[in-house]
Amino acid sequence: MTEQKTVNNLNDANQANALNQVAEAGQSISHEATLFAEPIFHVGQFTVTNSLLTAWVAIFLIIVGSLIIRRKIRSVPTGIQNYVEVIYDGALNLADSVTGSRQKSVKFLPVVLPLFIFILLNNWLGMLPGVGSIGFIEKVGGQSVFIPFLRGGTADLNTTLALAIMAVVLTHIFGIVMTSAWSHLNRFIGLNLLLEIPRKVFKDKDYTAILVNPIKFFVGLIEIIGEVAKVASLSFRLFGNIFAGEVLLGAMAAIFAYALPIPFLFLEIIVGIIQALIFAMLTLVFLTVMTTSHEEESHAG
Amino acid sequence: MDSIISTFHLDWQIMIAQLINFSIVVFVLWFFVFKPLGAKMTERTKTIEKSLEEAKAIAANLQQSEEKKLAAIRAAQEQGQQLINEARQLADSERQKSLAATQSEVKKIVEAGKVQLNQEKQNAILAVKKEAADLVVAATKKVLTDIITQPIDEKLVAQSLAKIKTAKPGEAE
Repeated sequence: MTEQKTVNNLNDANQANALNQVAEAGQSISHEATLFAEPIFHVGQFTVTNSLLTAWVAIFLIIVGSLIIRRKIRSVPTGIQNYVEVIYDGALNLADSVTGSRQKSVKFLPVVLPLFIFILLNNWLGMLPGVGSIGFIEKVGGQSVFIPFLRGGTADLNTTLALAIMAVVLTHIFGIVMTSAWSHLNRFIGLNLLLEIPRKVFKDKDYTAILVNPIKFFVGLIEIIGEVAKVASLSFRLFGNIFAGEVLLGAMAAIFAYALPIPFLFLEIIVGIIQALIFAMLTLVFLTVMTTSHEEESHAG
Repeated sequence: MDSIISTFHLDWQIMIAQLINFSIVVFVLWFFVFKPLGAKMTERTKTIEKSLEEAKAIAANLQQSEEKKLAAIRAAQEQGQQLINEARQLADSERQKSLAATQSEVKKIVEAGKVQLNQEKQNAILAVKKEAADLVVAATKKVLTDIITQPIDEKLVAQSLAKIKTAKPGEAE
């Protein structure tokens, strides 16, 4: 990272000069797709990457869109409000099918729906013309490397990991608030299972508790590993699909830039929706599971 | 772990930046879209529910009014029928009374007529009897004046008067 030199205040002339220098030196420019987002500029110690820039564009679009929608909201819906209401109502109904309760859906949707919108916009912005193809040349370790100004926000593990961590942490916060801290703790560290062994054995004469409850206790501990797995699963799935899509589009464009990438563009549009939906729906499922008390789950099971 | 961090250039600052980005998205969408939209949708749902309830109440009132109207019509019909029946009964009664009175009056008139007729008949009979007696007396007097002597005359007169007195009214005529 420290070896990388960022070209500030780039313009066409500088880029042309850089290209000329590269040409004079007889070097080739590397267009290799990297697994990480490239730094564009620094603000103090903070590095602004191309994926972060794309995320900001997405936020800008969301803010503008939200303000437009806010101005259009009327008691009698017209135009764009109709579409927004259909989407909102559809999302609520879909959430109902997962949570099984409108009350829970109303609580979770303000987190899950923005998650879907943010991921979807980042996925799709990565496919726009110019994103990944307009940038500058940088010397890295003596080699000329093409650095795009913009890169799909979700084609950066930093973004997907941040979203996944946030989603999983939110499931725990909702779990504690909606089921009580003790109940939530016992989901992972089944202290109540150990505490109830004497009662079950001596009072209820249920001797199987001596064997079953410790097993349940260890299963609870395994759940902790499951939480880490959730983060890894959510973040790597989204990153892998979107990054692979960008690589695929780049490869197709490299093979034959005209017409060939078009079917793959449509494919990536669908992949963008599906991945955003999977992330949001899984978050919703995790939220539902965490906000269902452990006792209820046992009875349901 | 280090290899993952270096391979994917994981940077906690960028992660926090993305978290802040997402928080902004959540806030903006919640404040500008979900909250007002949800409020409007709830308000609309309430308005529709209220309208439906009102419509139900109006329909119930209408039905109630219809029932009341029908009940009133039925009551009016019954009352009318009762009035008609009463009027009929009254009319019948009055007719009966009137008929009875008329019959009684007619009877009285007839009775009076009969009485008067009998009286007049008696009077006529008496008059006829008197006339006949006078006539017989006169005729007899005229015929017998010359031939009948005083004693015969008196004897005949007495016989005639006795016949007349014993004769019935129909026979006299």
